[in-house]
Amino acid sequence: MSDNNEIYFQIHPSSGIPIYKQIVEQVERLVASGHLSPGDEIPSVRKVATHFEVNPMTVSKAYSTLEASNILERRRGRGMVVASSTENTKTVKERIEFIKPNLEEIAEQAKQLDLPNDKILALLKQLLENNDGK
Amino acid sequence: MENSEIVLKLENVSKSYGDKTVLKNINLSIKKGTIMGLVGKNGSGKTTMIKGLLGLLKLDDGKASLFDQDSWDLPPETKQKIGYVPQTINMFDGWMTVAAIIEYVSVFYDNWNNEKVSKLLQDWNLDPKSRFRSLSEGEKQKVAIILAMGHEPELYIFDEPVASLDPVARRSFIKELIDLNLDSGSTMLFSTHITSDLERIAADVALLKDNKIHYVGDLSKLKELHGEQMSLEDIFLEINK
Repeated sequence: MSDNNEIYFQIHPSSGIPIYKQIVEQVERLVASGHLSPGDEIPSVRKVATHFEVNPMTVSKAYSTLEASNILERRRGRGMVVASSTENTKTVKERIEFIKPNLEEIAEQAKQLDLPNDKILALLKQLLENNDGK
Repeated sequence: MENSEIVLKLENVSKSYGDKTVLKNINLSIKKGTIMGLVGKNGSGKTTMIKGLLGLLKLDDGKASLFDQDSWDLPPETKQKIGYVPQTINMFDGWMTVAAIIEYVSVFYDNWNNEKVSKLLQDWNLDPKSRFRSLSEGEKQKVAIILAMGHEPELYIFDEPVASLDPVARRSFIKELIDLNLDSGSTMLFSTHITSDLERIAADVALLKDNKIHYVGDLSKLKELHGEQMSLEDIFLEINK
């Protein structure tokens, strides 16, 4: 995951979640899960802005936010890297906390749509298994 | 140029046509390097505001300035720093070819990047030998965009630049703007109804409502204010309910 040529997150510009926040949350998750380790390079602002065709300042803002919360740090000549202080070995419990708000939202929506629990669980299981197969 | 330098400014600007008020006490400033989207319903005053900024019409009240120069009295060297794409493209005699129009416009500028212009013509599938009147609306719009980019201005003002472009051309235009912003730190004011484009390109937005500025500032903040389920289009519709 340290290859700077790889862009390992997704951006949905028309989502209600601001683009900078989408980047912040995904990098936080990747670091928490250990997919990104201290010292790993983060794709440059230029690369992300041109790849996703989004405003460079928005990407910069995401990186500055991550820098302010000590998740990323600036390395001379290498751009942004995952901060050395970051623990990449967060416990399962801590990692669950990251994903919990999304799951709560899904639970809420499932209730509103009157969908049976077993159907949702089966779909989630299928999606998780597809991910494993990748 | 300092990064915090204000490139474009409107101070207490008002304008009416007869007894119809179009702009009421508008205040707006844009810093160098910012890409700002301008959003508002038809008739909300976007085009009037842009024309006032460019000194193309006389304001009733207040002051518009570009690069610290009064818009109504812009010196030629300031005009060289501005690229403008108007909403309606009817500025040329139809019999002129695209190449002739480009040549005609280029002589007004000290700087003209022919290489860039040729590349854009090629990227956007425009034949320089076509006569302007034979072009589709979308192609005319592309020519207008290329003309605004040829002299590599510091400030771009686009009035509905993508309305007649197909999605492929729109994305390629947006990519061009991102490259310009990255490579030259160009400042842009961009009015459009296609909010999905603005969500990509603009970090700041100004929303016009009832001829006044309803919101100006960070697009992320606007989205945070409205909750996570709402796109810019949803917010725009809610504001104009």
